[in-house]
Amino acid sequence: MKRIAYILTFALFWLQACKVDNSKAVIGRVAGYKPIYSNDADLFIIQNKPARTVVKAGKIYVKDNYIFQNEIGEGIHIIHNINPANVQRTGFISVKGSQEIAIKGNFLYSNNFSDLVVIDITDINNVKEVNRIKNSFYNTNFGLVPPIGGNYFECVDKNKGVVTGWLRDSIDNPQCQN
Amino acid sequence: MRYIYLFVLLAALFGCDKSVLDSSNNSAQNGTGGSLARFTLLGNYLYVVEDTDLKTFDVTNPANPVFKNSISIGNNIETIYPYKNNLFIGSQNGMFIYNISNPAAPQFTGAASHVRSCDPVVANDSFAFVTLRGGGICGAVRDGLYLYNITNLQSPQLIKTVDLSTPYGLGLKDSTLFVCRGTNGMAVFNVKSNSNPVELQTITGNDFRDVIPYNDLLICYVADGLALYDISSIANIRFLKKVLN
Repeated sequence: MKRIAYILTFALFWLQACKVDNSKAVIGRVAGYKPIYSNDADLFIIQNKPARTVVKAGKIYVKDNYIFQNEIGEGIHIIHNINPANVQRTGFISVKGSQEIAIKGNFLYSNNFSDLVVIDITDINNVKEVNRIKNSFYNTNFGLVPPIGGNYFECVDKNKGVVTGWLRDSIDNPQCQN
Repeated sequence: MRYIYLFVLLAALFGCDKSVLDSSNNSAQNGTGGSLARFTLLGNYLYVVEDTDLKTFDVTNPANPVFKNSISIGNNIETIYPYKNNLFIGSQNGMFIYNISNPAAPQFTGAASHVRSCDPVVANDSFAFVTLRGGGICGAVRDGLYLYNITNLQSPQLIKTVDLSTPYGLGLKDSTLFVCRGTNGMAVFNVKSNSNPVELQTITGNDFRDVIPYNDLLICYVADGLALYDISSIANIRFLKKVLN
């Protein structure tokens, strides 16, 4: 009898030890995406660069005699358009993580990863960051989820840095999915 | 007589050289985005759509945006288009309309749901034009141009669908609607009678993704560059120039 009690007690502890932590779903090891982090301060420098070829063409925007086109994740192409018959790319604004453009007066708004950044374009060849609202965008689309939906991924830990890309890999118990 | 020829020749030469852009000074004004944008400006406010949220920033002082609020509006939000007092928001599941009579606090007004697809929106006073494209992450839907009567913004009514394969971004200039169709070209519709769009022509030769009508200039984001067209006469749309990637 005493022995049964021992076994029961042991079994109880054993069961307790095996109890699933319900706060975390057990997914196991699956294919998914891992964030690639960077802590490079240069990623937050907004600056003019020479005109370059378009590699990952993004959205377009027009203001007065300029057309702007996003280079996805890299910045903004400047296209001078005073004479449409002779339109050409004249420069580039480096805004890492950028996907969006809007312009009010002489101020251009874009996303520098998940920060809203304000760029003075009064002199288009000498632009200046004038303001930034950190972590304005968090829930997706600005780097915080993998580019392809319907996947498990390792949740982003902002303390580890900026997400500059995603790596397809086997991951353990991912707690995020898009 | 010879002088007349010379005059015509000179006029033609200078005519070709002149900018088709409106020269009016809009320096303090908002620029214009394409139909696939997630950032848009209306008056003194910047509106941003993320996957699930609409965020509002006060840019009365344009150098110093002030975050006002974030509203959860749905899932798979992709695009935002401003028109007068309303924001038209495209998601993979439908179109949402938010009123900005109080621009700092957009108010949900109406929605039209549809099957899962990718769907930018443009609008005028009485109609919203939505393109639905299936395939890939966009869901399995029959491609087309969907017209909603939005006279009652609380309850957009689907009144017409036009079969149109592979539609991407779209743009509206007065009564002309431009619909990018990838490698199938760009369809040009007369939408004067909104409920019955008449296809005028399809411009081919480019892989069209999105478009911005800007005064007399049509700026097209095409797969291998930017293509510009003169749209001062819709009956005679002229290709101007392409900047290759």
